[in-house]
Amino acid sequence: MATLNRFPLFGLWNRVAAGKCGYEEDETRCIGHGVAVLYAIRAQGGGRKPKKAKSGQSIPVGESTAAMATEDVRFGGDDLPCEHDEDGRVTRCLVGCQSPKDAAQTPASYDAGVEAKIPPEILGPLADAMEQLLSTYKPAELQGSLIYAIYDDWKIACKAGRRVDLDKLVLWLQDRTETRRSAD
Amino acid sequence: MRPSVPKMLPAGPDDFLVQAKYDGWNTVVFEGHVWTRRGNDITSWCHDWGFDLAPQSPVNGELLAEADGEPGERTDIPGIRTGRCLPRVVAFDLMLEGPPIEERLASLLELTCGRMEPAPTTDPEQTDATWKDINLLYEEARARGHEGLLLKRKRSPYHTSRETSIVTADWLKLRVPAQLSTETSP
Repeated sequence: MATLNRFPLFGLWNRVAAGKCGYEEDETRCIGHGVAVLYAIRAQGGGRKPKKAKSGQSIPVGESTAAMATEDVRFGGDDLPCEHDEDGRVTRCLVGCQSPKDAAQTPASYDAGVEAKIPPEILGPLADAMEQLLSTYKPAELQGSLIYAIYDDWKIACKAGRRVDLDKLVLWLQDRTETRRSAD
Repeated sequence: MRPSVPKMLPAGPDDFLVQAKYDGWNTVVFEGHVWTRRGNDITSWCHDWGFDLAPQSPVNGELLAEADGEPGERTDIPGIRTGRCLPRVVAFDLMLEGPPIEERLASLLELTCGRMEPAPTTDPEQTDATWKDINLLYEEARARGHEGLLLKRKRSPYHTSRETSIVTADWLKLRVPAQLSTETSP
């Protein structure tokens, strides 16, 4: 029985959900890692919210914004401090960062901190099963805390001690997808 | 050292205008640009804002995503960016130092058009409102999924100061409590 702790699974889950909400590939990796870090910090701090990143000096309206300040991205019912490029794409999340120099959540940090922890033979089927289930919801439905509520369901249904049974998780996701499709 | 003396709320809320408080991005529209509260220029994030980007005075409002032809409960930045949904701005004030709020809101009504509309606000002439009325508005805001209510003191000027004590004397935010999760560990 292959098992894994919840952090990388939660990161992958949020990455897939962000894609369903319309974020582009690199954005989804920033957000996936950012949400996972947020909940890890809360777990360590007894449920307290982490301090927001300092956004640097405020830039007066009307001046050039060469150095972008963070804007909060609402995802899964949480506000993630994020930096954006000039077209509005999320370039990195700064969850738990106390200064702009602290390690932020980027596509590279997602690859190293989330996907690299998931056994390669299960990553594809797992991501696909998550995608299939989340495709049964409208993007607007995924803007709130529903993402977390579904996660909570599979976390409990597939738990193996403090870890998650990966085979059971894939089956659970497929089963829930079928149930939702047949209900339509 | 002097003992602290608490201030009483007035017996009735007649000193305040009440506005719906949406849960979007606080933005400023002026001189052909849309700015965020933190000074980021997001004009290029959307190809079809659907309202005048150069109003006579800076308009302060909440950027939301359109849902069923109405301003939605919150914003959807990737949706607006990719054209999946339309932007809506619910304008709640003009950033003009000097005129009282009643004058600013009257001017705001003339400036809003297209997908920018004024925030629902109680009638400045009303003088018989009670805190029970405010409570009803608060419950409506909660039912609609709004962030809460904003109480603005009548005849108050617009404050550009970051001095919290000055601003909070004239603007009071009644925030709908966020739903608490019993489980926080991933």
